[in-house]
Amino acid sequence: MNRIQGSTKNRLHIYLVIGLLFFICLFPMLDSNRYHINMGIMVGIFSIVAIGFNLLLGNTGQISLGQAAFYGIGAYASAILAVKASFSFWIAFPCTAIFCGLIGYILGFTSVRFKGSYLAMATLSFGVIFSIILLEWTTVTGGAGGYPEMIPRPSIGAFKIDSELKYYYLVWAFLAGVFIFTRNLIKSRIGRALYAIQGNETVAGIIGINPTRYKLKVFTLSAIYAGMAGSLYAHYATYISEESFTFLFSVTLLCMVVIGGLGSVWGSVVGTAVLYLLSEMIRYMAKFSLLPQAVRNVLAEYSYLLLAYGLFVAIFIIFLPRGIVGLFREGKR
Amino acid sequence: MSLRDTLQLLIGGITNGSIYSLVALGFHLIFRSTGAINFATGEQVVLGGVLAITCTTVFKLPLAVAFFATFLLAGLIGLAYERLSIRPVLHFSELSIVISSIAVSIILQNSIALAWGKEHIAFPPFTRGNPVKALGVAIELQSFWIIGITFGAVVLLKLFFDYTLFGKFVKATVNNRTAAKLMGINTTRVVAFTFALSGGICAMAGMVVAPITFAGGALGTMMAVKGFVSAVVGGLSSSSGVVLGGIILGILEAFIAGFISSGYRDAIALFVLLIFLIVKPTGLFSSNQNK
Repeated sequence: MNRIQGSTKNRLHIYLVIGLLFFICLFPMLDSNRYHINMGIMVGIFSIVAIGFNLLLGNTGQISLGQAAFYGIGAYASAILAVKASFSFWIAFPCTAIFCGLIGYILGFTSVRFKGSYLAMATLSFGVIFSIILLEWTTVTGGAGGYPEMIPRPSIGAFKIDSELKYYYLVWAFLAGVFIFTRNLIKSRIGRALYAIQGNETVAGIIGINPTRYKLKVFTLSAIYAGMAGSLYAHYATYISEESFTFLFSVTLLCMVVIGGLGSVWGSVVGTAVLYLLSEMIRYMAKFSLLPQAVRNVLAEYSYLLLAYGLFVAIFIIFLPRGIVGLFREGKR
Repeated sequence: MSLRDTLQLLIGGITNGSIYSLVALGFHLIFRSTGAINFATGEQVVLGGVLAITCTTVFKLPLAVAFFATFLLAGLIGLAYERLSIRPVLHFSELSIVISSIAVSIILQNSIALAWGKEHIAFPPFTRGNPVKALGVAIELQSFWIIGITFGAVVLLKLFFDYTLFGKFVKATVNNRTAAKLMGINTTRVVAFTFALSGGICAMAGMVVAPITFAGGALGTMMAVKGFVSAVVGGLSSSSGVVLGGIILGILEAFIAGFISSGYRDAIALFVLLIFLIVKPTGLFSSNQNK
């Protein structure tokens, strides 16, 4: 962990983080609006995917544009295990994570050996094909209509996690686990190896780090995270369809991570929260009757929002490559 | 399967393959000049289609004029794209170029959706008329246009790179940017030029493909995937390789879809990609130094 240097700026960070943690823990108790808790759950689920994606992009310099597919595989695999094999969530969840890791390993094995762009394109194709399979293989996936049966909510013994409030804590508990694990990973030997690989692969190879092996490991881990998030989503939403797992999700993820801060675990969560809440706010404002109709039409048009995402990403990558979190970390790596 | 069916599939494959070749050329040019994959390629293809539609229907230009106007416009957009989003990050890392190009692809895709709508837009074939029948095989007239234009473009590019001074600058830059710079070539301008040229070529692909697949919608992503797979099959760093790669992918797709199932037609490209990445990642025709 970082040594506290005692400067006022560092102290400010600690207050900020403690304040955030308090907010995350207490907000669903203070605010019983189900819609708001739903947003909290979705931010938590997306953050898990984003942390894995950021580990891959920000710490290893590898782009995956197929993260939506792993997220989708997680959701569908979990749904099928829970409905067809009537596995409980606690068995379906690890099975799903392992399954996604396996597919990630196979896909990564073919493409991480090459420069960043290759993996990006291979995963992009993988995502597109996954969408096709979801739509075509109707006997298993239910096709365009979505998964036909209701996916059960998890329970611990007699304690059913049936309300939004309970699910919120479940998701954020998982997120906390992923968060701490990833942060420790980055600060460990592996994290330093990744930093070396990102700096210069050849040099990393010379000092005894096998870039391919590390890249493959991280890629697999990011697939596992996505699968976990997918499973959590399936058991929360209880209904899943192809629309949630399209290429658009992979792209949104990239926007979240670049805007939040590449290579920072906090950045993944902050970026996810900012973009998700922004899009929800705009959706809310589009229904706001005080605004003139023309403005509301613009707000309701999803393409404008995505256009703004694209502009944000371009602006951030050119002027603020370390994202929002980078603003608070002047001078630190 | 009779000889006639085989021929029919072959011609369909070559037609689609020609389009993939053009897109693959777009990838190739930018890959050689910057070392990165241009993720906006697919959207630049769609842009060509919708621009041509606007030129012919709104401005009522004759088809030939519209064709060149679109080519130039798309080239200019390519220039602006390079100037605004690639040049500022060109010296950061490959990753920044890739992210920047993804950002541009999002911007382009949604601008197109806002300006032209999200639905597929129909575009009439270049020449109307019944398919030509030869050896019992029916060939759509648009197929001739697609194959002819691709062939023409490849020949013109070859002539340009081999016989003009600026073409040789580009060739020198893509072979070795540092050496070219030391020889006094303005490599910044060359990179800008490859973006313009690649934008124009992709637009051309978009125009010729519009009559058979429509323009807009999700065409861009699919085109980018197919073009990239073609480039990998042929060898991303070889210009004649990527063209052949496109044709090979087109034919493969046609035959596999013809024999097995057409529902998974678009999935074929992925398997081809994975096989190539495992077995021969440098592609069939790649050469390291010369092209």
